[in-house]
Amino acid sequence: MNHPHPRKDAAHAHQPPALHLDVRRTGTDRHLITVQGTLDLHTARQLADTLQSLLLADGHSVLLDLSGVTFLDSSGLTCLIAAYRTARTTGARLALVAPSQPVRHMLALTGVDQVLHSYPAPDAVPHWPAG
Amino acid sequence: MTESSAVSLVRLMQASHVATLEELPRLIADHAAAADMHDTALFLVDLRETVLREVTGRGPGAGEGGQEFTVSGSLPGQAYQRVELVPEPAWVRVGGGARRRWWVAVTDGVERLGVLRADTDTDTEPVRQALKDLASMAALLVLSKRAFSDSYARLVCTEPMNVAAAMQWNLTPPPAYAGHDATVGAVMEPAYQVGGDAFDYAVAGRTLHLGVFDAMGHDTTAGITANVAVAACRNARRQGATLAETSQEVERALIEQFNARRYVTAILADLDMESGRLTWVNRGHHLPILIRDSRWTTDLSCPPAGPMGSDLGLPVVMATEQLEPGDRLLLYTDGVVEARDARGAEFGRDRFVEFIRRHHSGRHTLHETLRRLMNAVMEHHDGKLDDDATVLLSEWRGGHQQELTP
Repeated sequence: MNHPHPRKDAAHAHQPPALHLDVRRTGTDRHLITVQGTLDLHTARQLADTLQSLLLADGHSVLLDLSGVTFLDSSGLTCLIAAYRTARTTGARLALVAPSQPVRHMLALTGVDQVLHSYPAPDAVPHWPAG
Repeated sequence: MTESSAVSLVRLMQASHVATLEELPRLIADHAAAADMHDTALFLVDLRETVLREVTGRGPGAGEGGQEFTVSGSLPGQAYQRVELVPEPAWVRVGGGARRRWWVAVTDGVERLGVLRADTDTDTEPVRQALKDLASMAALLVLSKRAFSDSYARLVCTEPMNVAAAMQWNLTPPPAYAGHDATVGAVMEPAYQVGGDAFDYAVAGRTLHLGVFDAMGHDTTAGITANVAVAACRNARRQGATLAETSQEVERALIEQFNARRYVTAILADLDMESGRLTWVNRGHHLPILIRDSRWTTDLSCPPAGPMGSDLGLPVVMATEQLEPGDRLLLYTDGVVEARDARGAEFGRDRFVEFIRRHHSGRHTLHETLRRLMNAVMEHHDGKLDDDATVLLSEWRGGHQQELTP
């Protein structure tokens, strides 16, 4: 799933990227990743790579703002499931912030919302370990 | 059927034992000519039920030099769609007399395989019965040769398949079943470019097992994933596992193969065909739709236990529902409802359910309804689907066996 045609991508650099990630450190053990665009076969890897490195630290929290995700397919969902499993193994924590309607729909349909919890805003996510 | 014509059909069957598919048209023609049915020809329907192709027995697809008719808009297609005997309107002069040309649906009682053409000197009830008897026998002969005939596989394919589709069509049972107060029909598109969709059904005593599967992705690995899932499901089921246990066995098999990088969503269901009691589990899939009375429909509810192979560790709940005679149960994958037209509008759940209700209300058989549904979905999407679309439609007639129409 690596970009097979990097040169072709460069040639179309004027097009808006299908996925935009903004990674911000919001505390000593906290990161907020804001995701915008479509999360599918072509873009999920980008988010997966970013998530994996941040989820390796025990006790670290990663907040994933999905309010700007316009489309989520099975590859996008796989990325979220993989991140959840990594966090479960390493002792890190993953929380979703304000998932958009397509994301909520997919999470509820599959049952993934039962393990990956969502909060309305970053400051609504309780600190870890929760009191 | 007279005793001599019955014996004659048995002789035809016996002669077919060591014949190949290529030899069937000649065997059938010889038998038919002896029973005053002339100029017979056997036509088989393609995988997508769009065209009827003559079996000539020549060439690698056994159809070289043969005629072809479309299922929509031709007289042979009418016979196929209505599963009936259809005569050509005009009698044809032959020598000093005239003959009537007939088209008869070739079906084993449930699955439609194609049509048979034959000419007769008279049009009487015994003649019509003889034509139907011959078509029934032709269906059994074709079925007995299909499993090992590459010619059949070539004849019924109108375009090349991808590897996943080649796997999936080997995996799935025939697209039609009827018996024991229940009828099942299935369709899967794009037939030649399937990714990870699959369906399954099987009968064991009074239980009808049903399943619809959607493996993530659209590549060959998606096809492999679906194959592992269906095989693991059947294996567990045949060893007596409950639905919940079966889905957990599938989960285990998938994790062993793909380490949670691939998953499969599914609905697995068991219908007790005597009592109408339906039991099912939801592995992160679209909920089954129940259609009752052509007026009332509902999504059956059951908390999702996560996709099989995703290792979420959620409890698997077995839900139950008491069906009423005449109820129809729709299991499907997202490609059906999410197919979008040029303006981005989805085919949608409501249009899907409405289509089934409108077309399957006495006018068409369950299988013809599904054929038309897929045509409508494909048309909505400009003839080409991005995602797999599968529908498994079951009807339970409970206590109304005589009204059972496949």
